[in-house]
Amino acid sequence: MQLPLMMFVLPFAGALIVAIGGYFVKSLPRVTTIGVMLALAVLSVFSLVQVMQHGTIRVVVGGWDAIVPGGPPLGIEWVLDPFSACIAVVVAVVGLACFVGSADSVERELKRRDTFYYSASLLVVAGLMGMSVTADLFNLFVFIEVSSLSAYALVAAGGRGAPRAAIRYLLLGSLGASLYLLGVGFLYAATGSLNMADVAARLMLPATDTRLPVVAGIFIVIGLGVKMGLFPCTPGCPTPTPSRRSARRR
Amino acid sequence: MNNVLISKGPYFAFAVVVLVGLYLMIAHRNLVTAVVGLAIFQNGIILFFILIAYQFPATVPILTEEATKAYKHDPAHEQVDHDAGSADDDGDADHANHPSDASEYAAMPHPSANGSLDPADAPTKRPYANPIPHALMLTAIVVGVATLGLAIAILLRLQAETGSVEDELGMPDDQRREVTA
Repeated sequence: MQLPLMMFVLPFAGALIVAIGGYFVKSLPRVTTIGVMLALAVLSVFSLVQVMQHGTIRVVVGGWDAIVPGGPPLGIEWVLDPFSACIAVVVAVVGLACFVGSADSVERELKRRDTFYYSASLLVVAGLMGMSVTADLFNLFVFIEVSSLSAYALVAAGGRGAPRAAIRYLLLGSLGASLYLLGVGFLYAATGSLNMADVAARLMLPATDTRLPVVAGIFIVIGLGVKMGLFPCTPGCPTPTPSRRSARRR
Repeated sequence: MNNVLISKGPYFAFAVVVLVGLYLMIAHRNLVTAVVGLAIFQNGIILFFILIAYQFPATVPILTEEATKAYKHDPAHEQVDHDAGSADDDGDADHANHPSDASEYAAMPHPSANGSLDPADAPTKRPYANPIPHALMLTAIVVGVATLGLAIAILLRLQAETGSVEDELGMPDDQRREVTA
């Protein structure tokens, strides 16, 4: 079952098609985007049903399983369990509603640049889908960056004052993601593994040093807190809503 | 104290690089400085990952033919070889289950099992340094380049729109430059 892979590849390929095809066919971006999101919503609901009926779906990308008995898995694993399938359904359905709802105002406000808007938004959706299905800590960082970078670009596309809000958002967001990456580094130093389930199992071993995982947890919570604008990390938090654009997610 | 400085010295370098980056991001109003600080911060984290991958006598993780042969003829590893289906006279049926790349990789000496920790030994006998953090950092560098490029693009637009690259957060209202777009 390659369902988790398809759930990422569908919006990602859609973003590429929109970015390239939008130059040649004028009405393509909007139609393609809504079609892709519709397909994604159907796919994620279908996979939720599949997961509820037949249990968790695991995909080891490239077949790189653990080769040393008892060692950490070498490759990246994507897991679709009931929780991640629920998150994927939420992302796909809310994303579809946003694209349908924002179609008119995008046409009004971003006349020439709607190709850019649709492909960046599809990249955000692809990153969010990847985040919900991945089971690898570093892969999660990559997906966070995929969707954040597209989100910075979307914020910068607004009107007056948008670049300043976007650069502030970029600085804080990248700082948060870097702190998360540092936390992952500490976890990797403590456990020697990046697979989420494997890291959890290794942390339960009595022999594991507890200082490194605690520091890792602090870095990860602070990093994601900065990205989320969580309470103690809010000072200097950007207000990326300078223009009258509607349906800006995140 | 001296001992700690020598054995953990590179980690102090990591701390200094990260703090320099953080200071540049916080202390200056110029946004270009902040972007440079962000790049330095990310590079500090890359330094950290490279440091945790390196152990003193370990050697570069390049799988030579010599090492593979020495490993396969070592009776201590026959069990592992059999499990991974990497013995040469195995049929194709086994290779259908295990990708050939992965099964070749299984021939790599396991660092904790048979590596010699004597730096005077030949490199083929020493354990391999862990290559995974390097692969991760290759990705992180690409992400950093994308971030830097996007930041520069946004700064160019900011410069074109307002004629300045200063952050006006926290400035008194009468000192703020009015946006003339």
